[in-house]
Amino acid sequence: MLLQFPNSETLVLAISGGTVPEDVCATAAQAAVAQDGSIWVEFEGRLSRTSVRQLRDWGTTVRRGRGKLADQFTECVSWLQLVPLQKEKGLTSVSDRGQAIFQLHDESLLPELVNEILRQGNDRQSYRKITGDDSCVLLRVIGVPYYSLLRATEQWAQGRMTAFIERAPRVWIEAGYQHPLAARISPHAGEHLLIDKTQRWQNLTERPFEDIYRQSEFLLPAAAEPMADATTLPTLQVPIRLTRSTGQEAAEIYVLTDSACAQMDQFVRASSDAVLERLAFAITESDDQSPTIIVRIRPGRGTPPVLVFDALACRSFLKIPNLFVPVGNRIHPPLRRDAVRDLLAEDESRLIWLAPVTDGSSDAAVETTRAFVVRSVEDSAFLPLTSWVDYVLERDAETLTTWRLAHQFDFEDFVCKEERKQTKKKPVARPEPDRTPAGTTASSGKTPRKSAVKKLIDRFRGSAAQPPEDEEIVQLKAELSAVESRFLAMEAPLEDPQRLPLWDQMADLNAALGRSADSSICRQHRLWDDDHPDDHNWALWFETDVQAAHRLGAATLCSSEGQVTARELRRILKSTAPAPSEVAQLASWIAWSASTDSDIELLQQSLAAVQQHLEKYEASLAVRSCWLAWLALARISDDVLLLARARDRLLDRIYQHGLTADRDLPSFLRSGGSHAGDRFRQVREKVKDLHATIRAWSVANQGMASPKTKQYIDLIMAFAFARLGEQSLAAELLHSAEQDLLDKPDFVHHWLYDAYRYRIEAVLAGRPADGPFPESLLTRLEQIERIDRYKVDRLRQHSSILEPVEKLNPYHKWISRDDESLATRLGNLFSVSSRSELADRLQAILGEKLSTDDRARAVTIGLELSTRLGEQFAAGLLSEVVPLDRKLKDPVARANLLEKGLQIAAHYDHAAAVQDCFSRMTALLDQQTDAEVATLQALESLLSRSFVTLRKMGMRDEIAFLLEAMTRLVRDSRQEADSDPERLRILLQLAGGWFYFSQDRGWKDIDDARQLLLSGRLMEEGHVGTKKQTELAIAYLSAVSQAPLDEAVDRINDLFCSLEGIRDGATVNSHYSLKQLDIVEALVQTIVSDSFTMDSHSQRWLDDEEFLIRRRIHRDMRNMMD
Amino acid sequence: MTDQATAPKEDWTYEELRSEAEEIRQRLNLFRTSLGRFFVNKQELIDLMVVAAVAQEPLLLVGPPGTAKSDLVLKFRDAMGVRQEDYFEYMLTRFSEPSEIIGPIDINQLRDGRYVRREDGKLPTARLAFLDEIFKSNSAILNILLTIINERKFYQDGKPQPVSLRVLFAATNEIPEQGELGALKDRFVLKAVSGSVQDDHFTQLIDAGLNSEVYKTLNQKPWIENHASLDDVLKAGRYLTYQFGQTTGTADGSSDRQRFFPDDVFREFERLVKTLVREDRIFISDRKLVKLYKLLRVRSWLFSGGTVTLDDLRLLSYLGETHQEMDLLAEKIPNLLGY
Repeated sequence: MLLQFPNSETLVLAISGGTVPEDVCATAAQAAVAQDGSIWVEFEGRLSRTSVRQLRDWGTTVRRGRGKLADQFTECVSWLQLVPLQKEKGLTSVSDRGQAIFQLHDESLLPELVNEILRQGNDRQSYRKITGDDSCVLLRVIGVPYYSLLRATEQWAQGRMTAFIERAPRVWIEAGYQHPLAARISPHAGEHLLIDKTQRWQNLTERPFEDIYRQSEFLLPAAAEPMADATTLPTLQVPIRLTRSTGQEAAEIYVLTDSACAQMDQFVRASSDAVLERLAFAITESDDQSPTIIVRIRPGRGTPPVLVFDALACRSFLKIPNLFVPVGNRIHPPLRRDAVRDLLAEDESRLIWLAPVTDGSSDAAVETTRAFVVRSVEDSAFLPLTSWVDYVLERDAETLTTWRLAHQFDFEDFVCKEERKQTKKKPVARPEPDRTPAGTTASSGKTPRKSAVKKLIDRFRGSAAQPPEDEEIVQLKAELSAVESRFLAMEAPLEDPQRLPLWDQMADLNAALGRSADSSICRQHRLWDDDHPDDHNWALWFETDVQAAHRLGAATLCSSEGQVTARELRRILKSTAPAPSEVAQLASWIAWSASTDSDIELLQQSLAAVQQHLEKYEASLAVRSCWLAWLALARISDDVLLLARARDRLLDRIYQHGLTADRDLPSFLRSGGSHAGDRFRQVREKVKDLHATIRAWSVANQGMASPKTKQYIDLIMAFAFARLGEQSLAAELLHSAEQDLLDKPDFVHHWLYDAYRYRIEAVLAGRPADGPFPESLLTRLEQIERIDRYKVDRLRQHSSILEPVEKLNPYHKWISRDDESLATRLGNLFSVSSRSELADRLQAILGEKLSTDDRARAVTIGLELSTRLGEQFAAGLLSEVVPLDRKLKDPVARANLLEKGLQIAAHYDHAAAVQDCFSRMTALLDQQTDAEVATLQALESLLSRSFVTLRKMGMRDEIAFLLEAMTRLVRDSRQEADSDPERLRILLQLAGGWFYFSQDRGWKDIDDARQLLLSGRLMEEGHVGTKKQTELAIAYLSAVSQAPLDEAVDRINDLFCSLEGIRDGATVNSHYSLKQLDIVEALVQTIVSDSFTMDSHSQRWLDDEEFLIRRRIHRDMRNMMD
Repeated sequence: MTDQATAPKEDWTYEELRSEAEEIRQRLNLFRTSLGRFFVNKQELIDLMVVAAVAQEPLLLVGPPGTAKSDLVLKFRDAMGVRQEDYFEYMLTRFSEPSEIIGPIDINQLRDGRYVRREDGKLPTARLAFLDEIFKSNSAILNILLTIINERKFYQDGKPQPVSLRVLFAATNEIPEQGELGALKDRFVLKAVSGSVQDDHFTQLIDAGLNSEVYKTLNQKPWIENHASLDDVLKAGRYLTYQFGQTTGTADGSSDRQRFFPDDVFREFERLVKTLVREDRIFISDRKLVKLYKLLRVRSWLFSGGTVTLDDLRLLSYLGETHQEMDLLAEKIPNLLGY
């Protein structure tokens, strides 16, 4: 078939479009190019009609004969050969990996081309010589430079050199040209195809190219000149000198040459032994036979002391231990360490220093390098400096005789008069010029005390008074101690008027001794318990607080003339960070002013500001002081609501934190008197001994748990010691735990250590140890992965040291955040800080349609939170307690509700509600015959909480009643054996309760529990048994800690020496043994509690205190409302 | 306005110049080699200054402060004996005003309604000018400079007036990237780096620098040796211009290129230009290419009497538009040429 394509584009179109099938294209053909540019192709075979029709559409003609072109036809291997190359617009450069082949018909061009390409930094050249008709040299270049590629396109190179670029695999097209169908060209296997612009196809058999390096001889510019080694080398003399250095290293040795002994003498006289202990010395004789003393600072903790000597101060050099250079100098020129050591300090038994000398060769002031002489002394010559020092007394010791209380104080008989002054408006005399208000005048109507002590008291009253002499202090202390003892020994109730004079005396004595805080507390007690205190007492209280502020350097309300002025008042009220003593004197002034009408106008003028200031800073006040001030303000302004709000705040404070010992109680009551003070000291001593026992027990029971459990025990014990005032022990344990726990990077250990440390340091600093952790700690916690977080939260959940308030769910990460269940919503209320939001959310929940059980749960939580929301809110909830209790079936839910109702009713002094809750609670107990032990456990734990409430309400009889009922219930319940652990736990709790009443009814149960714990029977039950063992051990420790101290400590020791079977299999085992820590922490919380550190007498005393405060508050509130 | 009556003669004929062309060439060579003695390692720059001056193409000296850029021009001027009225120099700032360059407005003429500047002593009247920190020009100055450099004229009262400027040297610390200064940048075919020499010529620098300080203090100018004058430069330029245009009068009617640019060298020239454009993305406009030819011819005439050699192609090293390009070309061109 013969086709005439009008032009090459049509041919390309026909081939690329498939109109001419590929197999046809791949076959050989005969072709000719006419003058008009048309291409004639003759081939074997035929095309389909469709193809022909298509070709005709494109202007292709089917010819019958070659015509005039007959002799112009040439053979072509395929139709693709007929496609002419297209010239590129500009020569395309070759990539760094692209290849080009230069075909050099003129071999003389090869060297120049190779050199030119080499000159451009490209040596990836290889060549091949082709022989035969078309002999040539092929130079293949990878990444050929454009500059050299251009060479082949120049006119002069035509016929002499052609460059080909690989455009398709094994298809090389002349540089500067493109074959439109290069991708379709398939050379024969093992062959490359070179196509030039004349459409000449050259087949190149694939053979390796020779590296051009093999064909190149690189001519060196000059002959190599080998250099012969020298056989000998003259020694180089390098002088070593000292030169200034910029370092600021501390001196480690001092060489005293001038008046060495005198300097040492002076130094030793003025230095502490702590410094001397760090020093060693050696003495040598210099050339002029005067002693040279070398003082060396021994390594130790802390920074080395800086000594001031007129001496050569030297520091170690290049960390060579026995070589020292003068401070601020170094060896010049700098040498390697081993060279210096070999040169100067080879003998390790000697201490060597370089003493500068002036060589006289230049001006010493400007010389930059100095000569030196090497001096040394035997290392063994050094002795501790303290061995050289004898401390002598300049005078003989004077033997002191023990002072004995042999003096008789000739006191007059003290007569306590039951005087009740009704008048409140008598003006009090203005304060004295020495800034102390004088309240004790004849106008007070009191019979002045004329005892010797009284004279002492009068002498030392007032801030301007000189402090008492030592002997006088002793007298005053003795008197105070005696009064305190009488106070404690008195059988009368705390609020009995018989105690009032004692409060006066203690206040006066404390004031005379400069113990303003205690004096003020005693005054407050005096005023609190006295229904009609006279003006004198109010004045004394204010006077005491002013003195306290003055002694502490705080601002006082009294001017230099001794009067309270508007200016001083403004100054106090403007303070944004007032000292507690400033707030205290404000409170006492308010009470005094309101009660005696002194400065009443000034107070009324500043009423709003005073109220605002007092409310803002009342947290620093004692409860009594705070209430008396608010009571006074309420009376002045006749504002019941003001007093109600103050009451709510105060009661909430007491509810949440109880009384603050150091603010609300005088010292002797904090320590429970001398007896309880002894008990406290005994507790501290015994706890120290207990620590070693507990540690040994932990090691013996380690099992699979982490050995780091000991360190956590140390941390718990550190907390205990901190609470017991053993600061150094606590710090020591903290430090050793840090060393052992944090030896490797481990997030869990690090975080828990920091958390414990935070709590312990809070206790050591006297801060509350119950707030949230700092933001930095919590942020770290949020960033760790789940498992580690779980381990941390698990311990937080169990530990009341780490989380004394908030109870965690360590699985919370696995719980959906979208959990909107009632339990979750109720739980979230505890984290709401805004009062109004809390009220709204609680109201919203209570407004929903809830089941009885859910409503009971909501009311119980609501009661828990009602101390923040006020009495009215609480009253509303209290009204629901009894109706709900009637409907509830679950005894635990009932006990929960009643216990909370009882607590809040007593909190707000709703006597009727208290009685209702109590009676329903007793009825509940009566109904629990044959109850399951789980029910009994829940009931017992609830009752234990209500014991605390009832104690503080003074309802001891009720406590005893409940204890009795519970004990009976447990004993009568259906159980298989008396030694059942769950049952025993309940009985142990009850035993603790009996100890409170100084009854030893629980000892049998305690012995039974001990027997069960040490028998090992529970361990046979596997994991469950271990859990029971742990819980029983905790209950045992809680119970025995209520016993008398010696007995308690013996029992605790005994348990830790013998208890086994506390094994862990939990996930947290990798870091700590949770059960062991549970036990130890339960013990620690017990022994640091007041119930352990105080005797039962003092404990009860504290409970009564709180009760009396509440009672007075409620009474005053009722009076105000009436 | 330029006083045409006192304007120096510049309309020499070819015949006048042909007779003294060789002498002028030698004087200029002597000039450049002599001047190079007063600098350390600046011979190449001085050669370039002479070439640019003869070709009457502006030359830009680029370099950090303290690298003798201004000193080169000042000594060049002194050595060439340029009269004060033929010389203008100015350090441009962002705040420079046109009146500082081309003269203040003539107030008297302004009263007559004519916007005419008093250009005496300013750039329009100078035959040799040095503009320091040229790229600090603001747009007002820019337009004026472009017109003067490119078209050799400036407008007085709306009418174009030829300027006397023949040789322009400029200096800058940095070559700007801003587009609006690109036109001014492009006017400089050759941009040469005047770098610090202390690394390689520490001792010579100290000695020469000290001498320079002494000369300055004692007001001595030993570089004024009267080897060549500005007229020599202008004559040389005019002579070569005649040559460029000659096709008649030769035996074969060949062009300047055919006579003075051997094919192999021309091929190298073409190859180099294409390589720089294609591979290194150096921008060489058509105008610049033609001017480059002129400069190559000037250099070849100056150094070897006429025929362009491969060595003359070193001028392509000064085509860089940025510091990077300058550094690249300074290394690449000699490498490609085989030096």
